[in-house]
Amino acid sequence: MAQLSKLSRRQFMQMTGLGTAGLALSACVKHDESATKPVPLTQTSATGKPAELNVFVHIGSNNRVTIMAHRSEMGQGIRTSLPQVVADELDADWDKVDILQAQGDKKYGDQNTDGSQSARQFYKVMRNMGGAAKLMLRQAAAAQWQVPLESCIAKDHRVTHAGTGKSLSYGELAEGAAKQPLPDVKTLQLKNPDEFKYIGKPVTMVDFTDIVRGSTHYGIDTILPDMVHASIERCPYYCGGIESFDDTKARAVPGVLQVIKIDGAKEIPGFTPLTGLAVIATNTWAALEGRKALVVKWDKGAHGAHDSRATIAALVKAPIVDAKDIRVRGDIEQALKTAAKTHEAVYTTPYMEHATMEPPAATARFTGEACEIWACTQNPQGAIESVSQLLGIKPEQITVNVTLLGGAFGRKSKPDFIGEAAYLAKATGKPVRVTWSREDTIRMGYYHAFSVQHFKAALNKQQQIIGLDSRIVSPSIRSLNEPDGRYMQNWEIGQGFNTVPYDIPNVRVRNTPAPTDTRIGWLRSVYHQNHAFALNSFIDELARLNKKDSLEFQLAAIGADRPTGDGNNCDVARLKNVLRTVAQTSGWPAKVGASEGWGIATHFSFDSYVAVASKVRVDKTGLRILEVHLALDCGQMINPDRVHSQMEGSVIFALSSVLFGEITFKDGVVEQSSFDNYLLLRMNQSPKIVITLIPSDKKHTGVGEPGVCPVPASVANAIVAAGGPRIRELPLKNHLNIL
Amino acid sequence: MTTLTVNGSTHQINNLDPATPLLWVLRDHLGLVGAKFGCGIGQCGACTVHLNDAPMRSCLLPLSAAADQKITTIEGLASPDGKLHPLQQAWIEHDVPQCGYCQAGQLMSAAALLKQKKKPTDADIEDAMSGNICRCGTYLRIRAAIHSAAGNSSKIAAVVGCWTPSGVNESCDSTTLASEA
Repeated sequence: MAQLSKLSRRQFMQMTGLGTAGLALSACVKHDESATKPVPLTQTSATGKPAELNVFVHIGSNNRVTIMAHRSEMGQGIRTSLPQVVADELDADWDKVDILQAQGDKKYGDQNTDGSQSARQFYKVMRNMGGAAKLMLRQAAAAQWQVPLESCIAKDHRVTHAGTGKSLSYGELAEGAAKQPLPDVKTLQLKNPDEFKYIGKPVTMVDFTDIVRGSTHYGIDTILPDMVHASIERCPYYCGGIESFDDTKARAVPGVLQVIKIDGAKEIPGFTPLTGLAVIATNTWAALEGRKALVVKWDKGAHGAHDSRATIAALVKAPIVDAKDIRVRGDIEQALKTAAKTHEAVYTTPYMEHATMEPPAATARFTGEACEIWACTQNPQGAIESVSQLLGIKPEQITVNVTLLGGAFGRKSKPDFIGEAAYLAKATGKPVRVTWSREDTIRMGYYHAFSVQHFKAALNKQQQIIGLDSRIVSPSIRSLNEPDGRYMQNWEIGQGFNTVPYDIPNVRVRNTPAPTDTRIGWLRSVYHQNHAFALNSFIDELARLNKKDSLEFQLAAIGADRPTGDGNNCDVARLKNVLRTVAQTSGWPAKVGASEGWGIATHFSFDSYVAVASKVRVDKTGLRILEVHLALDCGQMINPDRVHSQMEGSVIFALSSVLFGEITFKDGVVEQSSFDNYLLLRMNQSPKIVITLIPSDKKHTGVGEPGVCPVPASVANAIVAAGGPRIRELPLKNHLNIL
Repeated sequence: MTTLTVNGSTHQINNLDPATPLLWVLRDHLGLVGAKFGCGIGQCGACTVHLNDAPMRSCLLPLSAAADQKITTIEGLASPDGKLHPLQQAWIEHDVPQCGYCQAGQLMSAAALLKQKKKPTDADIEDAMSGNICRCGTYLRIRAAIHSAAGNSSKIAAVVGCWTPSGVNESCDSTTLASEA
């Protein structure tokens, strides 16, 4: 089994003499074992501030530069793209760079790889890290040669003296550089964009060779000596428990060692493990077989009757009670009363699950003194905190090694599965790997919140929108930690519901309470995708009502160039630009064949601007997605190939959601279980995809999530254009046969 | 005792339920973790290996049925000297993976396809590959990489982005990102 990347942790430890961190993950050695010790360029490990300079950069006297990757790699390419920024400012030779995955440690700053944040938070930090290290190397050369710093030029992994032409490699300078004082970040002279060598370039991901060889390491791949395997039968009822159980037959299954009861939270679930029975066995299969032999009577608790279809249907019709005004502008009642025309609609979106290809998996070893963990986590610092509370040990006693993540989408920032491994390692006294089955993953998730969204618009004689009255009902993520989390948090409503880009004089946004009957979590683009679906569907309905072209109507509704304010800093000029761009690439209003149609939608999220135009065919055989055009303005790009691949993936991901994505509860229990009834898009259903990346010198904005938001409405709008029905309830599979 | 021949090496498996799926034998007993667990019901293809050169879902194949057969896993796709299979090379050239978790299964399905059809059409590729789910959505690049490994025209109907790994699409105008390739 290989370690993440070009350099193993064991090897790194050997090389640095930093001491062992328990068993190293890797047997894969790619570089000269005899390489001498690299010199850390930092003398401090002070907390806070980006002044934790060069915690990220180490240089060995073997001339290899090690760059720490502190964010979790889940397919977005961050293990390559942030180090490529460091390497650029460092003027390092990428072929002489090793990437090492950082363990969970606050000294790196925020490691919670979530919210499309990495480039936004760390682009400048990474430049400073590379720039500071480079300055120290130049200072070391100047000191050694007794020449002015200005005459020492760093380029291509060497420092050269301008006068004499003599030069030293970074490896030769490393030891001297480590003795230099840490530079003041403000004094760093960073590159001009026209000097970039790696930033903005499609550098190949460092993990690809290992990935195609099958030799890299995901959370599910950890193997430790004497390790046992756990599979857990968890309570399927929200905040339920175990009334009684009989594990006699389970323990008789060959390979099963023991059965351990886990008591989970009874009221607010947070990120603690769920109540369940862990079957410990010598291999995964025996653990799974042992589970089948368990006899359990569950305590259904207060949510044992949850029926999600009935819940959503009731919220569509329920009278408005306990409404909370989120935003009021102008006089919406008056606008509706005096309108030439009004229109109203209700949209619903269901619970969904992340369905990462790699299910949650974690391995832990507990020695009494320390707990070491290997896990596919988006949030190693969060895992440390969670395990610390669970086991009652100090954070310093916990080590979290971050593996590659086989997909994550928000699921793997919740450390419940890591807590399970730690708890069981303590209980058994052995290293334990917890592997979730697919059924566990689908049935025991942190679900994307359902939504019920009510809209009413007032239009004047000139067919302009003069009033918009909207109301959202959707369970809040706050319910994970608050007993009565029935109202949404401001940031949740602010994800595109309270922040519409249209220029409308009379607005009212309200929130009415939603019940919580399961664990609510965040899933790629979170509430944005629900809100973008409803709003973009509604604007298309208004355009059709007025017999207007949807693109023209949307552009008019967005109105004059301005920042929209409302706390979201949406520059509508950029929003209109992406709309016009997809219109251009798709040939809007393009001619179509019989039963075909185009739909268009746009959304601002995670500071990025995305528009999508989709072409579908709807006939008596069903719905076929033919073509999807997406334009993205995400400011500057570190690695345009990975931005492009994120957009391709966003389209596929969002199509899975809009076509098939639905978790339903009946009698308190999730009805879906695996890929035969929780469907994901396959190659034969995938459309032609055209991505346009808008060049920009503006600040970096989000990439991982924004691409999914406009896709669902673009498809729903296209269905109407193709002569199909207006579908206001997702997913589409409940209304049309999906081809 | 059961004898397994995996990637040319033979292994004796003792004291194991003969119903144990090959996937877990590979992963838990032989330390070959390249084949991935995705669903355990043959729906996603992440566990695909070759049984006598044919693609097989190892999560459903009992140990007893794999005994004494020729098994190839992703670890055995490259040549014994380490040289990558043309598909593995094409995967890197087209920057196919995102998270990479499903890619071992994708590659094994694709390799089985190319053994059967040296010049697959789009339809052949769809037939062979639609049993493999990729949640990251790399399908377009998988299709492109298979065509490329097969020596088909590199013009990929499915991928037309204005910025693509292979350069700028001609249909794009000057407002789109210039090629860095």
